[in-house]
Amino acid sequence: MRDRNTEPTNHIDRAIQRTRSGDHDAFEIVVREYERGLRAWLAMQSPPGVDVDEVAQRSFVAAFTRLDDYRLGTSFSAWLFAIARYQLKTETTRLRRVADYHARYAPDLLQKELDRRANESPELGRLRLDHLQHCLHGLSEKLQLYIRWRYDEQISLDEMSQRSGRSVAAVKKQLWQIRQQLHACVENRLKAAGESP
Amino acid sequence: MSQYQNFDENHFWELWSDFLEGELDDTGLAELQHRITSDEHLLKMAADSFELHRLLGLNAAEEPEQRESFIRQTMSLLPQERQGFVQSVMRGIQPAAEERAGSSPVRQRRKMWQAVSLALLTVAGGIGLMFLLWPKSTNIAKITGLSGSVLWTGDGGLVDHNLALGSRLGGGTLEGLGPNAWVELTFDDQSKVTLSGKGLLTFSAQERKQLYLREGNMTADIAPQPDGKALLIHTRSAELEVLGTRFSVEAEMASTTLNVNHGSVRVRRLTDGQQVDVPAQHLLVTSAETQLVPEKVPDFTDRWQSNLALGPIDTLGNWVPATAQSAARLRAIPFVYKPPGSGTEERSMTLYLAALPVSQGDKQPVVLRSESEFRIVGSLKAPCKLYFGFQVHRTDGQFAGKFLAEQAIPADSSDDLERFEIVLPIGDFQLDPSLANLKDRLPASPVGLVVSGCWCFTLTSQDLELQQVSLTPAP
Repeated sequence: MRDRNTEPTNHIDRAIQRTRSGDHDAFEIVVREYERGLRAWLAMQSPPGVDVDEVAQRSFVAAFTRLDDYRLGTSFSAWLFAIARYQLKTETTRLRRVADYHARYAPDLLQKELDRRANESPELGRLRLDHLQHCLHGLSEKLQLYIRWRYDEQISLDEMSQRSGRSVAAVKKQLWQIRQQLHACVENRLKAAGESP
Repeated sequence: MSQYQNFDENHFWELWSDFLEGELDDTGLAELQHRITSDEHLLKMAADSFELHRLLGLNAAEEPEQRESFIRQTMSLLPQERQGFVQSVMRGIQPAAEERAGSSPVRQRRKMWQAVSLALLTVAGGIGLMFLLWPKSTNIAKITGLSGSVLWTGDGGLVDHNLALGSRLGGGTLEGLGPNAWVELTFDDQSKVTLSGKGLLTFSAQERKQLYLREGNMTADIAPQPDGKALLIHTRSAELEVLGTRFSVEAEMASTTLNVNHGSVRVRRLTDGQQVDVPAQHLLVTSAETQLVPEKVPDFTDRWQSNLALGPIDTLGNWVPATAQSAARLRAIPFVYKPPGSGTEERSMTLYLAALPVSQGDKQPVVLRSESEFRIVGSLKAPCKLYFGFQVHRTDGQFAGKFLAEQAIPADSSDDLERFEIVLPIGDFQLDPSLANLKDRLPASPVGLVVSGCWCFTLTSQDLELQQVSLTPAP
């Protein structure tokens, strides 16, 4: 008879059991389930200069190699995010040791503030990303265009200036305002849904 | 006066925008630091804005294809065998205190072998069973060339500064920490891959070899691969499929430059899925804006001149824009150089370094002649010894060495800063001392080779600034 405590309680635990039994590909189920939330959480907690996708991948690899340490029936999400927190800490420590890191990327205080926020619930990252997508739809067509230029096409501010017929300074200010507007929208939606930190 | 001085409260957004766009100079960064230190409200606004900026970036990468690509990449990075078996045996026999104690990776590996061997012998009662149960080795490649500061991350996150020639590696990430970094990896099928300069390369070999070049320059000489198992190279903007050929790849944030020497490489652009075969002696730049059409490799030139006015394009150092009084310049930054295999922190040294790319992307390759000479214009705060080096590759893209010359800069009391202009004939350069163990494999002279990049450094902080570096045949 199987021990009730080790009985898979959901599809993730089943995938983990299959992985432990040697079915390497079953781990893809785990990656699919958590990649979005993990990347969102890392995106929010990582200081400038950190490659979020790389830390996310290292976290999955570390989880895979230590899979026997995970206790079935407990929260895999909490376990995975604890690994990710450690991986992020390792990466930020490594970056701090790079001679010109602070000069190139991060004012100390900003990094400390982001570190402080790293204690927020991992779930908030995914929720913020969901709300952000709603908020983006709420922007006017014109403002959405700025976001597309900056983040999808990744064009320079000079090119945005040429395309929009506005000065570079005006483009900078527009992007600043859009980010503020989106931040307020996301926080309001979190509050309305009772999901605020 | 700094462009950021005397600005009012409302101008914080301008400073912050420059920071997010990577356009903030040293003075601006100091100003930003000061502003957020003295105003908690601004710090919160900055952190909120940064989080949102990151989420917008992630949202842009939420396309199904990009998510699939992330999942595929992650799966291919997983080691062939999980460590659970080894760990569980170790846990059974290692005292907890020993497990907690920090030890070097080499010592840990040795202990692991001893522990696992002992456990297996105890359980199985014989060495024959040990061979039956021992997990397959996951090592897939060997370090066959190494110079400069290179970091290795493998074994589920273990970081190793102490790579040495002959080190065998499983899947993981190699990181070139500076412009003088170079590492050559030889796979078991004799395929060779080199990473030059500052860059990040992750590799794995599950059903097929896969390389992930996040940034930097890589050259490859790939042995024929089995049918249906072409080697895949992923960059942020393209996927390259290679059956067996020789080529070089340069990966940047939004574009990939491929230069094929022999054979052909199939390239798929990630933004639109378009693909094209790039034949020998052709190059292709994949970015969202360009046509996906291979072009003939341009002819060589023997002249080159830096153009810092264009901005800090692939440079290392703090770029200072031109002002009415002075030309744009590149200020040296402290760079901690740790010789490969040095093991301890004590052997690391700090160089004050600025570096520039030379033959890059789809530009004309710059070749050295016997009469070539470098001319370096810059400034220092005091007389000192200046070191100038460059890296070369063969015309087929393969690494061919690094060369170094030194020059004492004499005192000149005309200025606060010592402006210097030196000319270094190619005959003054010698193989970089860090490559001494490879000198039999490398050309003794750089003549006829292509210059990849160059750098200049001092051994003490002397406010070194470069204004211009050029290469011309001697008059």
